[in-house]
Amino acid sequence: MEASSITTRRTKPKHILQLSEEERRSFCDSFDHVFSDIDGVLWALENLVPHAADGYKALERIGKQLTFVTNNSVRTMDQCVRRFAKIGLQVKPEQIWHPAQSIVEYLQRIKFEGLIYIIASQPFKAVLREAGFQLLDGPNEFIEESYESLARHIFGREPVRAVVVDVDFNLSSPKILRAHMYLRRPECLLLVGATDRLLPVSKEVNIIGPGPFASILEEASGKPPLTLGKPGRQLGELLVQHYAISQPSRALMIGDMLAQDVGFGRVCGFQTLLVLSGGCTLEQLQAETNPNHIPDYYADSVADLALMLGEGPKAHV
Amino acid sequence: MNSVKHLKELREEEREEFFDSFNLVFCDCDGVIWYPLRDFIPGSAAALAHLEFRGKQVTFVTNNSISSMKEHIEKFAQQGHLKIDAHQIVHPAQTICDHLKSIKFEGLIYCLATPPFRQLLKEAGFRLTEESGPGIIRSLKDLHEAIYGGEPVAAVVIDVDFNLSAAKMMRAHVQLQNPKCLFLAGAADALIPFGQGDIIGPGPFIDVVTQSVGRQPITLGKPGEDLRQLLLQRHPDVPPNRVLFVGDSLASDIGFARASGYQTLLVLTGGTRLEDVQRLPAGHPQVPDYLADCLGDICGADNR
Repeated sequence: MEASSITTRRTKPKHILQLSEEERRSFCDSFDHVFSDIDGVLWALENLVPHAADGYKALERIGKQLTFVTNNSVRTMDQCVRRFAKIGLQVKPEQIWHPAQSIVEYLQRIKFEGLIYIIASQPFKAVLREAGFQLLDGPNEFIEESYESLARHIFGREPVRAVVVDVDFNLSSPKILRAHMYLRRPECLLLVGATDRLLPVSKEVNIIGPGPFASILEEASGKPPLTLGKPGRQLGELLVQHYAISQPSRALMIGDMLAQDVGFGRVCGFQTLLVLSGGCTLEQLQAETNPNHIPDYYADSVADLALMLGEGPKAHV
Repeated sequence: MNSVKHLKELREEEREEFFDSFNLVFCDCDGVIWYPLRDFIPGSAAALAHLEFRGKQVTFVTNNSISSMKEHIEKFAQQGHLKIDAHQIVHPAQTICDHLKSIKFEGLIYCLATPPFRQLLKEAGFRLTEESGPGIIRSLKDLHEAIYGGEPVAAVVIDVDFNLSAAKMMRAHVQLQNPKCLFLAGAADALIPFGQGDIIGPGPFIDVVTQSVGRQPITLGKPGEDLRQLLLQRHPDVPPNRVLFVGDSLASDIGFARASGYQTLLVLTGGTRLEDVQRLPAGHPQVPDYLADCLGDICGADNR
């Protein structure tokens, strides 16, 4: 009986403001830990999501432990904490996870030693350097257009033991070809942060994200990547270990993306709540057919959590 | 082991049957005639002369547009003492140029390829757009300029671009949102033999754009379907089973040629090792009919 009710819920997510009193109570009691995405949930590019902070404050008030998990390493931790403070949320840096930091934690856990060849943004590289890792990058300029020059740029003898790929506005074919050369060595690891195919960087600008390029490297080297951005399994394992989560179903993943956030939550065995304040519309949610991308619950935004818990603004703005 | 016949091991009458079984030869260049971008492989000049002596027509099908047609012809003359006509050489810059002429194309082209490739199109009278914005992107403004700064184009062409970047691919993606914008691809190798092993070829990068825009390019380099059709139409009088395709790549040459029903000869002077062939299960679409250590094996023991 219970199993069948879960199945029904999985195929048709419920809006959290349409839960019965009993459902509402059992939902609120069903999790201790909340993992939440940031972009598209608290703010969407330049625009703030109205009353988003109220949702998190309500969760904290009823004793839920909050952790933010973003795929955005371009923003520094400081900038992120300041932006949270601006909307009235006091968040500590250790409550925020982004791929640069997850990769640092992963490398420290496996006691990684050696040189890293990295394709990523400056802030991302800074996080790894500060953690004491030795990085190699480039070519950071256009190369002379010949095979001789290509050879000079991609055949490095440096003892690289890991290749790291995340968002790089200057990602180029020589960088990918060079990464592939290092990955031909059996001991060289492939670590990937964000896996987006198309990445929104500002209001009108998208860029092809690191996902397809990581796939090129996986295909050419035959090495499955260790993915430490959402929806990567290795990121999930890292978080579960870090927070000593013994019962994954007692964690709730909140996010605005079907594949990245809901998919990530499902990979980890967390409950999932999709918010429609960012990259996914109600129509897209209703059209989703992949059962691993269908959330347990949905809401217009995290502000609905405050309403559901009987707090915050009464009228829905 | 699959049933590949080694040219050296053919008996005299089998060799004669082999030569009688084809009229036309499609022959790759890099890794077959010469080492990639370098000198002739010993024996290959004699082999080409032998094919001519046997009355075979030879057409060179290469994915290399970095050497111009003139450079190809000079290399054949100087190193191989062979007189080769321009019409005997098929390479992506030329096939794309011919295609654009055949449809009387007149618009602006965004061409992600090497300077010689771009030069060939410009000399044929086509207009190419230049990169917009600074080369290296330091800000969102730079990125915006690189993606949206240039003029709209009527065709996107992708071949080997030594400085292909995510921003250029995004500019191509944006232009290709216009369904009228042509999408053409040249060399589409997944891997290219280079140095001591393979490097990633243009194919996977073309695939990224293909997937992001959701439509297929017209691919006029190996192993493109459109080049395959074009080669079939070049010699309508020669049945495919009377064509011998010679190459060094299982994917870009042998698999490509077998899809057309050609006979195939794999040479081991390029990117493929004997183990790679032996690893293929019988019936695999990339198993060649014949195998040779080098093209020179064509001449037989007495001629080498």
